Amino acid sequence: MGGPITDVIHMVHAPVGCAWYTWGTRRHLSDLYTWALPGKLTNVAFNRRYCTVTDMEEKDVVFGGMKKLKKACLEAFRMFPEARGMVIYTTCTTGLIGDDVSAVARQLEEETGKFILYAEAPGCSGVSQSKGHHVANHQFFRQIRKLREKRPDLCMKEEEKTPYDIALVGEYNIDWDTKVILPLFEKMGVRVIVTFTGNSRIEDLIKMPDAELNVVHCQRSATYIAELIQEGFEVPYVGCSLFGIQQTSNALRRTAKFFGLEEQAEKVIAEETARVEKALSFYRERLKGKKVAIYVGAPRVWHWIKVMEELGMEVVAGACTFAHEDDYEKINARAKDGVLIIDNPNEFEIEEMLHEYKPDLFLTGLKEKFIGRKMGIPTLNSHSYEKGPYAGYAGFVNFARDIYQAIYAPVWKFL
Amino acid sequence: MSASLELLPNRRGHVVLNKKDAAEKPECGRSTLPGVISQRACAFYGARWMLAAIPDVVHLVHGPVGCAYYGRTVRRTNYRIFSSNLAERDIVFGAGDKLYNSIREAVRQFSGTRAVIVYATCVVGITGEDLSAICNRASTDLGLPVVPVNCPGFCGTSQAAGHDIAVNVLLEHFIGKGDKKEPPLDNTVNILGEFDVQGDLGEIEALLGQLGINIICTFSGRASTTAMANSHRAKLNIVHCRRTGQALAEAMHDRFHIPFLKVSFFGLEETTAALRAVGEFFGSDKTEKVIAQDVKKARREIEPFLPGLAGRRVALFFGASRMGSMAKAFQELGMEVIMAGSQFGCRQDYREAGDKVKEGVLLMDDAHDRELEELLTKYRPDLLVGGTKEKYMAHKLGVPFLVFPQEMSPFAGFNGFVNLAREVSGIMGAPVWRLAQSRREVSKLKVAVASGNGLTIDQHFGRAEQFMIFELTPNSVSLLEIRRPAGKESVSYQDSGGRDGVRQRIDLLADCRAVLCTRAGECARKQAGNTGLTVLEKEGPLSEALKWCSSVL
Amino acid sequence: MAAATGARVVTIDPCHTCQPLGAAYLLLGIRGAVPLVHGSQGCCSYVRYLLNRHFREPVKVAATSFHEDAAVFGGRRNLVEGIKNLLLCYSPRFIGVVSTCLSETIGDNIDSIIREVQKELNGKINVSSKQVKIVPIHTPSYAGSHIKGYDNASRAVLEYLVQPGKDSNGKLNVIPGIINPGDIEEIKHILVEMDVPFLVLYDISRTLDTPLEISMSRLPKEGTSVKELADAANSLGTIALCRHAGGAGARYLQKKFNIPALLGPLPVGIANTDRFLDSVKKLIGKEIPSSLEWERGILLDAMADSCQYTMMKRAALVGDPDIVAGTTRFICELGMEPAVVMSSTASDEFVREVEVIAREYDYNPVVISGGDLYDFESALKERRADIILSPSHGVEIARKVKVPVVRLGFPVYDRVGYHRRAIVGYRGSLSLLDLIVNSLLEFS
Repeated sequence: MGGPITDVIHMVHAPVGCAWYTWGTRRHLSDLYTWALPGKLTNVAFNRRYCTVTDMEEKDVVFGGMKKLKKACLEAFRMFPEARGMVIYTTCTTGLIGDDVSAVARQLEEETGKFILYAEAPGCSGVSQSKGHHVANHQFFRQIRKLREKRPDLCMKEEEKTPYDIALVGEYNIDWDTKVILPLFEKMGVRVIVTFTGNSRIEDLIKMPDAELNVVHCQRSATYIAELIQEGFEVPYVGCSLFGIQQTSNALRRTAKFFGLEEQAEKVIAEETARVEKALSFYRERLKGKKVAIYVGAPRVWHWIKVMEELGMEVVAGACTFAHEDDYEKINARAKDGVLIIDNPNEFEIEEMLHEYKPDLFLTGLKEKFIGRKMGIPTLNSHSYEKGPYAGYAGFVNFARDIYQAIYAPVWKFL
Repeated sequence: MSASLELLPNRRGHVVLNKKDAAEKPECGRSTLPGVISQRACAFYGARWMLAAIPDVVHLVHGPVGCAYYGRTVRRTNYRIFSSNLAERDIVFGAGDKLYNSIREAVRQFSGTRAVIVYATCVVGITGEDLSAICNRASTDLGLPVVPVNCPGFCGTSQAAGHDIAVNVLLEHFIGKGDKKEPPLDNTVNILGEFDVQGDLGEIEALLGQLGINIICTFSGRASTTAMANSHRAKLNIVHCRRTGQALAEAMHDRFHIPFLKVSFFGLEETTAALRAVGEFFGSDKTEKVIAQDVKKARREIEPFLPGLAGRRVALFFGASRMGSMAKAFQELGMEVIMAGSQFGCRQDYREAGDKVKEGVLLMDDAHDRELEELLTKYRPDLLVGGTKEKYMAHKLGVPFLVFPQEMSPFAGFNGFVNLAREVSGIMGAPVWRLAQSRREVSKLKVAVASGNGLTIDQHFGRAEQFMIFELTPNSVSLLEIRRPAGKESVSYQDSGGRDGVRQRIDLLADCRAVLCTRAGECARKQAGNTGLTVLEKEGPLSEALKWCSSVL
Repeated sequence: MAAATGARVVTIDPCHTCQPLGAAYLLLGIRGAVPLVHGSQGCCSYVRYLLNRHFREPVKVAATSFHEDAAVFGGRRNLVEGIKNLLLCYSPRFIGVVSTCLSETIGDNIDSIIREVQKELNGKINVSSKQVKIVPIHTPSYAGSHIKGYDNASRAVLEYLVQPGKDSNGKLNVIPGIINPGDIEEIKHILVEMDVPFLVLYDISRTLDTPLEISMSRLPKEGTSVKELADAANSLGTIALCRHAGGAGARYLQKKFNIPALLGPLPVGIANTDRFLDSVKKLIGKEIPSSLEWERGILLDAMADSCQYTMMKRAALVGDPDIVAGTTRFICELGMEPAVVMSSTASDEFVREVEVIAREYDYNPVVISGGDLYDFESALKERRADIILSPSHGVEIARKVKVPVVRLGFPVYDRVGYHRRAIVGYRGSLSLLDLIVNSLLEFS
C-alpha cells in the first residue's frame, strides 16, 4: 500500500530480512528522481532506489527499538533532505515487542515538521496480505484525518477545487499503468487530483478527501479507504475495472455519469477504441480459442475474465491468494459455468489444475511461472507485467502482444 | 665477444654485440631469409602505414580482396577502404576497366573526396597493368587527382620500400600543391614521421604550443590534403621518425628550402633536447621555463614507479628508428637495455642505437621468431618490447611484453613519459608472472629469518649479514641452510644483470615465502611485494616468531 | 526476398579475405606443422597478425619472402631455401606450402619444387628420422575467399597423406571448418557423451589455445597428427561441420574411399544440433544418451524463460556462410526475425539454405551473398534491426546505427576470450542465447 508513495522515506522497522525481501521487487514505478535525470534509470526512482531499515538485532529486541527507530529516522531525514515525509512500517518482531510507533511518529513530526505516516502490520496478523491492506487503509485514513484537523492548511483550498475532481483509488502504477489511464479521464474533462497510491506525493494524499468522487480500481486492497472517506467526508465512490476495451469504456461512462460528462466520455471511448483496433485485431485473430488459467491475488481474476473474452480466449480456471467472499461473487458473476475456482491454492493443487485443464496460457506470478513452463505451458507475469503497462486501451495492446509472444514462442514446438 | 645465440649461417652478420666503433654494426637492409618467421611485412603494408590516415581521400587497393581486408587496419584503427577485388578472370584478361569503373564508383558514392589513391598489389605488379595511364584517365574524367602508388608487396625487402614509395607519392602529388607564392608562415613547423598513436601528437603539439609554435601538417598522423598542400609554408621540418621522415625532410629541403631537425620526444632528456633545439631555431625565450616546470612535474610523478623498475632488464625490438629514440627513455627509468633490434633498420638507425646503449649490448637486425625465442630463454630479460606478433610468444615463455605502437595512452613528451613508466610498471608487476613459475606448495613453507645469533630476530633486512632459511610444515620446523648476501656483482647483461643491494637480497630469497626481520625499508618492502616475498617485521625469539608465521601465512 | 550480390563494381570495406588465411588456419591444427606461405612477406605477416589478435596466441607461419628478383625470375630459390631454413629452425613434422596470388600468377610449380627438395633432403639436413611431410596447397588469393582456402587445404592434405588400410578404425571423422577452439571442444564433449570414437581433422582446439606453462617447446604438442590424418580413410564416416570450409575434404574421402560424408549445417540451436546428433547416430550406430537430452532440456528451458525478451525482435547477421546460416535458424527458434542475413563469401547454397529457413518460419529477410560491409550498412538502413550478430568489424556499424551487437564468428579482436566460447551444441547455443538476451537487456 505504502510503497508507491514517491516522495517519502519508507522506513521498515524490523530485522533486515523484511526490508531486503521487499526492496525493489514490485514495479510500482514513479517519476521522482532526486539524484538522476528523468528518463534515465526509469526503474529506480526515489521510492525504489533506497531501502531504509532499522535492522533490529538481538539487543534491540530485548531492550526495545524505539530509540533506534527515532535515531534512524532522524538520520534518514538528514541524508535525504528532499524527502517530504516518511512511512514507518512495523513487522512481526517490532509488533510483538510492543514498540509504540505512534509515539515516535509524533515526536518526529514535532522535531522535523515533516509528514509521518505509519502502518502497523505484523506479518503474522490476519491470514494473508489482505490484512495488511486492511490495516494500512484504516491507519492511513486515521492519520490523514488527524493531520487535516491539526493542519487545515494542508487540505485543498476551496478556490483550488473544481467540480470534476476525482481520486483514483487502488491504482499502484504498475509498469506505468497511470500513463495510459490518467489521460483518459483528463480527456473527458475530469481532473485526477491524486492516485492512491501509484506515483503519488504525500501532500496530494492528504488532499484525497477533497475529491468529489473516488474511483476504485483495485477493490480488494482499497475499498476500505473509499468507504471510510465516504463515511467520514461524505465523498461517494464507484468501483470500476480499467482492463480491456469494454471494461475501461464502462469505467469512463460510469464516472462521466456522475459528472454529467457522458458525451465527452463517448468521444474519448470512440477515439481510443479506433486507435487500437488494428493492432488488437492482429492478435485477436491469432489468439482465438485459446484457453487461459489465471492465478493472482484476487481482483485481477475477475477483472480479466472479460478481458480474455475480448481477445477470443476463454478462462478455464482461476485461483486467488487472498480473495474475500465479494471477490468470489464477482468471479461467479463473470465466469462461465464449469470454470474451476481455487481459493489459496498450494503448489500441488496448481500443478493438478494445469495438468487437468491444460490451458494454452497461465497468467500468474513469479513463483508459479516456472511450474507452468516446465509443463510446457507459456506464462506471463501478472503482478508486475512483462512489458507493460496493461491497463486502459494502449495497455491492452501491450497485454495482447505479450500474450501472443508467450503463446507463439517457437520453443514450445520442440518439447 | 660473440653473441651466444644459435644462428643460421646467413644470419651471422645480423646479430652482433655493440662496440662503440662504427664498423661493427649489424648487417641490415638485406633480403629476408626465406623460411624463417621474420617479423617483416611488405611494401604495401609500408605504403598503407604512411598513407592510410589521410582522411579526405578514397583509398583504393587494386588487387585481390585480401590486401584490402588486411590493409584496412593500420595501427589498430579500421579505415574505410576500397578494393577492385580482382578475381581470376580479371587477372587473366586484364583489370584496367574494372579499376577505372571502381574509381568512378567510389568517388560517386562519397562526395567530398579530394583525391583517389590507388595502391598496386603483387599481382598488379606482375601482370604489368599500366596503372599510371588508367589513373590519369580517371583523373581527367573526374577532375580530381587520382594517384597511383606503385607498391606491390614484393618491392624491396620490407615495409621500408613502401614508406619510401609513399613519400615520393606525397611529394609528387600532395605536398606544396597550395599557392607557391604564399610566403612561409612564422612559427610553424611540420612534423615528419609522427602517426599520433594514442594521442602522441597531442602531447607534442601541446609542448610546441607552449613555445608559441604551430603545426601545419603532421606526416601522416594528421595530414589532410589541405594541410599537405600548405606544408611548404612551414619554417622548419621536425623529423620524429628517421625511417619515415628523413627522406621526406631532405626532399622538402631541396624543393622548398625548408631546414629540418631530427629529434625525439620520448623520454625526459630527449624531449628536453628536442624542445631546446626547436626553441633555439625559433628564438623562443620560453623554452627553459617550460622545460623546468614540466620536467619537475614528470620526475615527481614517475617517482613511485622507479623502485620497481630499477635495474630491470629490457629488450627492444622495433620497426627501425625507435631503437635509438626509446633506448634513452627506458634507461632514464633506471632500466637496462640488453638488446636493441629492429625489423628493417638502416645503418644510421643502428649507429644511433649503438651510441645510446652500452658496449656489449646485443644488436639484432630482422630478428626472426626463433632468434627471439632464443634471446628470451638465454638472456631472460624482465621485459620485451615489440609488436603484436611477438607478444604471445613472449608470454608463453613467461616474459612480460609491451606492445608498440602502444595500445593505451600517449608515450610522447613529458606526460607520455609518465604514462610509459606507469604502463611498464603495471605490465611487469602483474602477479601472473610469478604465479606462472612453479606451483606453490601449500603444506611446506620456506621462511627466511634475519638472525645473527640463531636465537632471536635481530637484524635489519638491508643490513643483515646472513639469512637463516627454515622449512615449516604443519608439524615441524627445520633449518635448511644459511645464506649470506654477497657484495655488489659487476654489471653484465649476460647473466641476471646489474642490481642494487636490495634487489640482490630479494633474489637471494626468491624461493622463500616470507622473510622475518626487525625492520625493512619501504623500497625493500615494495620490491619484495612485487616478487611475492612477504616481509614480516618482528622482534624477539625465533621459535615463537616461526610458529606465528605459519599461522599467518 | 532480396538476394543482392553487390551490383557495385568496387568493394567497400570487405568482410572476407583471401585463401591463404583459411589454409593457414587449417594447417595450424596439425601436430608439429608450420604453414609456409609462398609469396610476399605481407601474406604471412598479415595472416599472423590477424590470428594473433583473434586467438591471443603465438602463431607460427613462415614465408618464403618474395622480393623483386623472385617476382621476375620465379620463386623457386626462395621455396627451396625456405623449406631448408624452416626445417633447421623448427624441425617440423609437417610443412604445408601455401601458394599466393603472386606465386600462382608467375606460375611457380610448387608441387615439382617440393618433390625436388624432398629428393635433395634425404640425408643432407639434420632432421630426425621421421620423415617430414611437405604438402603443396594451391590457394590463389584471387579465387574465392578464406573459406575456399580452408576448403582447398582440407582436400589437399588428405590427398597427400591418406593411406587406406584393411580394417576400419571405427571412428567418426570431424572436419571443423573455421570455428573456434571452444566449438571444437564442445563437439568433442558431445561425441564423448555419445561414446563415439572420433578423429578431429585439423584440430586447433589445443594448438591455438595453449596454457601458459613456461616451456621451451617450440611448436604446440597437440593437434591432429600425421598418422591420424593418414588413418582418416579407414573411418566410418566424415562430418564436415561447415559445408563451405571442409566439405571438399569430406567429399574427397567419400569419392575415393566410399566413406559417407555429411556436410553441415553447423549445429547451432535445437534443430541443427538435433540433426547433428542424428547424423552421428546414423553413421556410427550409437544412441543419444540421457545426458544430452538433459542439455537439450536446459536449452529449451532457457529459451522459454527468455522468449519474452526475444520474441519479435529483429536480428541482422553477417559473417562466414556456415556460421551465419546455422545461427539464423537458431535466432528464428528464439522467435526473432532475421532482417538482414549476409554471407562474407558468395555462395548459392548459402542463399538456398537461408531461404528454406525463412520459408519455414514465414519471414522475408534481405539475403546478401558475398557482400561487403557497406552493403551490410546500407541494408540496415532499409531494414532496421534490434540486434546485430557479427565479427568485430561489424561493431563500428552497430555503433553507427545505435544497435547492440553480439560478437560472433571470426575475427573477434576487440573483446577477450571469444575463441574459448562455443556456439555449437546445446550448451554452446545456450551460451550464445545468454549473450543475445543479456545484450538486449543491457541495451534497453
